[in-house]
Amino acid sequence: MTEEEKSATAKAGKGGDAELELSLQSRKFFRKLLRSLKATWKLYRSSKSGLAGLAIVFGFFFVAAFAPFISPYDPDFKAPSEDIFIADSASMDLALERNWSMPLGLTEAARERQLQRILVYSPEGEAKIFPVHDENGIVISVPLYGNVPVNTTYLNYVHFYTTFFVIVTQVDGVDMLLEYDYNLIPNQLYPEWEIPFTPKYFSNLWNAYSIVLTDGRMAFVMADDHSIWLIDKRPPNPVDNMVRTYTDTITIPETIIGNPIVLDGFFRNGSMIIIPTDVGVIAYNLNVSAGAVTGYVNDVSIGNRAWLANYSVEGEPFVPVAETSDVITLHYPYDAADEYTKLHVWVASEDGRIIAFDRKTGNLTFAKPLVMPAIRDFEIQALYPSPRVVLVVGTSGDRGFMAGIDPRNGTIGYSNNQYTSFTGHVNSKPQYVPGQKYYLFSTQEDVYLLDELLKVNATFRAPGGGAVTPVAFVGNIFVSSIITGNYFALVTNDNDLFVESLHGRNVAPLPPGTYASGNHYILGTDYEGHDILAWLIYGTRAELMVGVTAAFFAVVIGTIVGLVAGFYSGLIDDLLMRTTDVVLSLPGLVILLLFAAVFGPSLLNIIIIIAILSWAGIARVIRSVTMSIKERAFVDAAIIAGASDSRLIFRHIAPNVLPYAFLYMTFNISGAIVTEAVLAFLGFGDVNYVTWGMMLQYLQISGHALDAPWWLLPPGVAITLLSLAFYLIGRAFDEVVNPRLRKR
Amino acid sequence: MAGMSRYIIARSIQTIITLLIILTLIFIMFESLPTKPQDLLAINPNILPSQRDAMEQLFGFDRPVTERYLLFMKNMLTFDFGISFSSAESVWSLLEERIPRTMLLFGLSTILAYLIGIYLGALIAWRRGGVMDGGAVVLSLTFYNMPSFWIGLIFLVVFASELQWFPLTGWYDPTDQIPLFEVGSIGYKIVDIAWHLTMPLVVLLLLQLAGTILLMRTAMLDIIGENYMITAKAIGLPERKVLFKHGARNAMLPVVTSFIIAIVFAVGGAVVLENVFSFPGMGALYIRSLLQLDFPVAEATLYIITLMVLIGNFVADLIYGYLDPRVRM
Repeated sequence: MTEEEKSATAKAGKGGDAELELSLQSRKFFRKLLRSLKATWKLYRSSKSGLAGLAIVFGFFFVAAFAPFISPYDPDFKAPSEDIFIADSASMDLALERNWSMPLGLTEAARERQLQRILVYSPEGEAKIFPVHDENGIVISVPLYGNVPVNTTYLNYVHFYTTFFVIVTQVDGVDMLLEYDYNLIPNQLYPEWEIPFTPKYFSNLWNAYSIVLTDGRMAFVMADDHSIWLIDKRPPNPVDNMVRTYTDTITIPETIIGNPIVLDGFFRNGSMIIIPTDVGVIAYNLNVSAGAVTGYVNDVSIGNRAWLANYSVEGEPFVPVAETSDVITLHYPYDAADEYTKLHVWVASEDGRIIAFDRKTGNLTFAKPLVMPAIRDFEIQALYPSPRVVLVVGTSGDRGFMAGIDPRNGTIGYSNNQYTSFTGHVNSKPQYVPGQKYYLFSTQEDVYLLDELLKVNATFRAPGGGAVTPVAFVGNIFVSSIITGNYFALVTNDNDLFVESLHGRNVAPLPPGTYASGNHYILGTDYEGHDILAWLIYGTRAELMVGVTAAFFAVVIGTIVGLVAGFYSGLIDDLLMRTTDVVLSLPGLVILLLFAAVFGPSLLNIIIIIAILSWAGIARVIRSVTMSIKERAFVDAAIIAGASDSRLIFRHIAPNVLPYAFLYMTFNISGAIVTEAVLAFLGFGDVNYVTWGMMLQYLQISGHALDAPWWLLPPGVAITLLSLAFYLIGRAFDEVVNPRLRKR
Repeated sequence: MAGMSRYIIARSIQTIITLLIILTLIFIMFESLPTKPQDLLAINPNILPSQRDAMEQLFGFDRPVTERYLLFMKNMLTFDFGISFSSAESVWSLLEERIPRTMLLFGLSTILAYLIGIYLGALIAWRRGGVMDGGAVVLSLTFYNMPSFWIGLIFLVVFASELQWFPLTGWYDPTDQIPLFEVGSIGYKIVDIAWHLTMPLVVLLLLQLAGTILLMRTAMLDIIGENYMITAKAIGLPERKVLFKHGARNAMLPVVTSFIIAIVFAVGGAVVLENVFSFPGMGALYIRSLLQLDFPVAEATLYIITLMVLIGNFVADLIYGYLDPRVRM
C-alpha cells in the first residue's frame, strides 16, 4: 500500500471521511480495470486475426457514423429517368406554334384500343391527324390531309367495325356535330347534325373515349348553361337497313356547372342523365321507346326529372369543388362485374369531404371526410372515375396527391393505404391504362405512372424540356395480337408531338458506370434506381444496430439466467436449465419466421426475437463458469465475512463472469447479423430501413438475381465480412479468456 | 453398459416434455395472430355475414380457447392434421411427398458434412501450423459466416445460369433429357433427382462443413496435447492409428454434441435454401403457409420439422451416451 493509501485507510478506519473512502475505492477499481484492460490488450494483439477483425469492425463503425459524408448519394436517391428508361418513342414536329390540344388517340375499341391515329388540334384553327404504326417501335407518319374544318372542340369516338371520329365545331356560325372517317377520304359526304346551342359541357369522356357502344351506334349528351342536348344514332336495323338518329333538347332554369354524365353508358329505359348545377345535382330519366313486336327503338328522349340532390349534408350546405368542369363524376363500370361502381354519384366538397348520392333516388348515402394519414393540409382538385375506385386528385402545398376511394364506404381503399403524393400539381385527367393496370397522369414537369395501389410505379421528366399539354393515353400497339406498347402522347415545349411507350421502359438495374445524366454509379443501381454503394453504406447503420442490440439483450438475459442458475443450484438451477434446454432444442430459424409473421416485421421486433432465441447458449456457459467460480477460495472468504447473496453474485462472481459474457456477445453479434439478413431475405424484414438483407430480398423479388452481379455480390460480401470480423474478435478474445487455447 | 437404460429413459422424458412445450408454444403463437383465416376469405365484399360465421364455425374459431387447445394437442399427437385452408387438400397429402425430399436434402448433407468434416478436421489439426491448416481455417471461417442464401444465389448464377451444368429449379422434371435412361424409369428418376439435388446439397454441405471442420480441429488440438497421445506416439504406434483410433475418437465427442446444434441449423438452412432453389420441400411449404395464413399447414409443418429436430437430437444424445460413459451418470 502506498503512503497515501495507508493514511487514507487510517482515516477511514477512524470513522473519518466517508467520501474519501469511496473515492479511494473507485480509484482502486479504475486502476484495476485499466490494468486488466492493458493485460488483455497485450494478449489480444498477439493474434493477427483478432487485430484484423477489430480493424474491420472499426472500419464499419466509421462508415456507419460518417455515412452522409462517405456515401455518394443519400438513401432516397433514385437514378433519373434518362438513365433508367429506354423508351420507345417517336416525335413529330408540329411546325406551327399553336395552343395545341391534348392529343387524342383514335383507336379500335374492338382490339383493345389498337392505335391508328393521333389527332391534335388547336382553337386557332389547325388540326392534324397523324397515322401511326409499329415498326420495331412506334412511327408517326406525315399527317393526313383531308377536309376537317376546325374550331373549338373535338370529341373522338370509337366504333367497332370501322374507325371514325366525331367533332363538334362551328361552321359559318352554326354549331355542328360532324362525323368523319379516320382516313379522311376526300370529297366524301359525311353525316352532320346541327346543335341548337354552343356546347360547353360534354358527357363523360374517360380515356378520351366517350361512351363505347356497339354496332355503329353513337350516343352522347352536351350542354351549355341551361340547355341539354342528346343525340343517339342507331345503326341500321335489319328490317329497313336504315340508320336512324334521335335527338332531344331540354332547357332547365338552374345554371349548369359541369359535364353531364350518362348512367351506365347506355341509352335505355332506366338510364339517367345526371348533371351538376349551381343548386345541386339533378337527374333526368331517359325514355327509350321501342316497338312492341320488333323491339326496335323508335324514340329516345329526355324524360322527367328523377331527383335533385342539394349540396347539403344533413341540412348543412357544402360547396362542391369546381375547379374544372368535373364537379361530379359518375363511377361507371369498367366491366359488368363492377357492381359497386354503379351505385353512386360522387361529389367532392371544398372542405375536403367525399360525398355520395344514391343514383336511383338522389338520397345522401355518405359524406366522409378525406383522411390521409401522411397528408394533412390539402385541397381537393377533382374526382375522377376509374375501375373499382374513385380517384381524388388534389394539392397539398407544392405537392399534389392522388387517393383512391373505396366506393363501398367512401374511405381510402386498401386499408387506408391507397394514396400517394408527388411533387407538382396534377394537370391532366388521370387515365387508367387497361391491361397494364396503371394510372397515367402528368404534372407540369413530370409524367407519372401509378400502380393499382396508387403507388408510384415509374416517373420521368416530360421530354423536350417540359409539357405544353397534359399527357394522354392514346392506345396500344399490337404485334400479332400481343400488346407490345401502350402509348401516351403529349405536346412538348418545343412544339413536338411526342409519343412514348409505357412498355419495357425500365432498364434498371444498371451496371456500374457513368450514364446519360452524368452520374457515376460505382456499384451500379438496383431495380428502382437506388445507388448500390449508397445503400451499402447506409445499411451499415441498421446492421450494426440490429447486431449489437440483439446480441446485447441476448447476453444480458443469458448472463442473468446463468448466474442465478449456477449460483443457487438445486431446484432453481434445474428449472432454469430445463428451460434453457428447451429453447436450445428449438429449430431457431423456423420459430423466428413464425414470430416475424405474428408480430410483424419491424426492426425492434426482429431484435427482440433474435435475442429471445439466442440467450440459451450463453446461459449454459455462464452457468458452468459461475459454478466453477463458486468453488474458489475467495468466495468462501466472502461468505465467511458475511456477504449477502446478491453481494456475492454482483460484486464477486459477476466481474469474473463478464469476460465470458463479452466473449459470447461478439459471437452473438456475428450470428445476429446473418440471421437478420436471412429474415429480411425471406420477406420478413423491416421495409423502413435499408439493410443488406433487404437489398438481397429486393434483388430476389425483382427477378434480377441471376443477371445483376453488381447487386448480388456487395451486400453478401458486406454481411460476410462484418460477421466474420466479429467472429475473429471473438476467437482472439477467446484465447485471452481461456488461457489453454493459447500458443497453438 | 452401465446406466444406459436409465439414460435413455431420462432423455426420452426430456424429449417428450420439450415436444409438449413446443406444441403449446405453437398453439399460442397462432392464437396471437391478429388475422384469422376467415378474415382473409371474407375480404370479398360479396360474402354475407352469415357465410362468414359459417366459415368461422368451419375453422373452429367460435369454440373457447381451452377446447381448441385440447383438440389441437390431440390432433397433433395423433398426426391428424386436417385440411389445408388454402387448397382444400388434406394436409398430410401435402406433407407426405415433401417430407422425404427435405429429409433427403438435409439428412444427406448433414451426414456427409460430418463424415467429411471429422476426417478433414482431424487431418488438418494433425498438420497444424502449415499452409493447409491456415488456408482451411480461413476458408472455413469465411463460409461459416456467409449467409446461406447468398452463396446459394451465387452458385445458381455461376453453375446454373452461366455454365448451365445444373438446372435452375425444382426436383423432378420428366421433360429433362437424360442420356441412357428412359423417361419415367427408376434409373431416370434417380439420376434426374440427383442432378437437381446436387447444387442445394453442395451449398448446404459447404456451410455445414465449415462449422464441422472448425470444431473438429479445435477438439483435436485439445486432445493432441494430452498425455496419452504423446505416449501412443512414443510407443511407436503408426501415425494413422494414433491419429484416428486414439485422437479422433475422443475428439469426436464434442463434435457429436455439435451434431445436435447442426441439425437445428441445417433445418433453418434448408428452409432458406429451398426458397432460393425453388426446391419443393417442407421449408417452402412452411413459408408459403405462413404467408397465406394457412393455419393447419403451417402448424403441421412446424410440428413435423420440430419433431425431426427433436428426434435427431435424441439420436445424437444416444450416440453420445454410447461414446462417453461419463454422461450416463
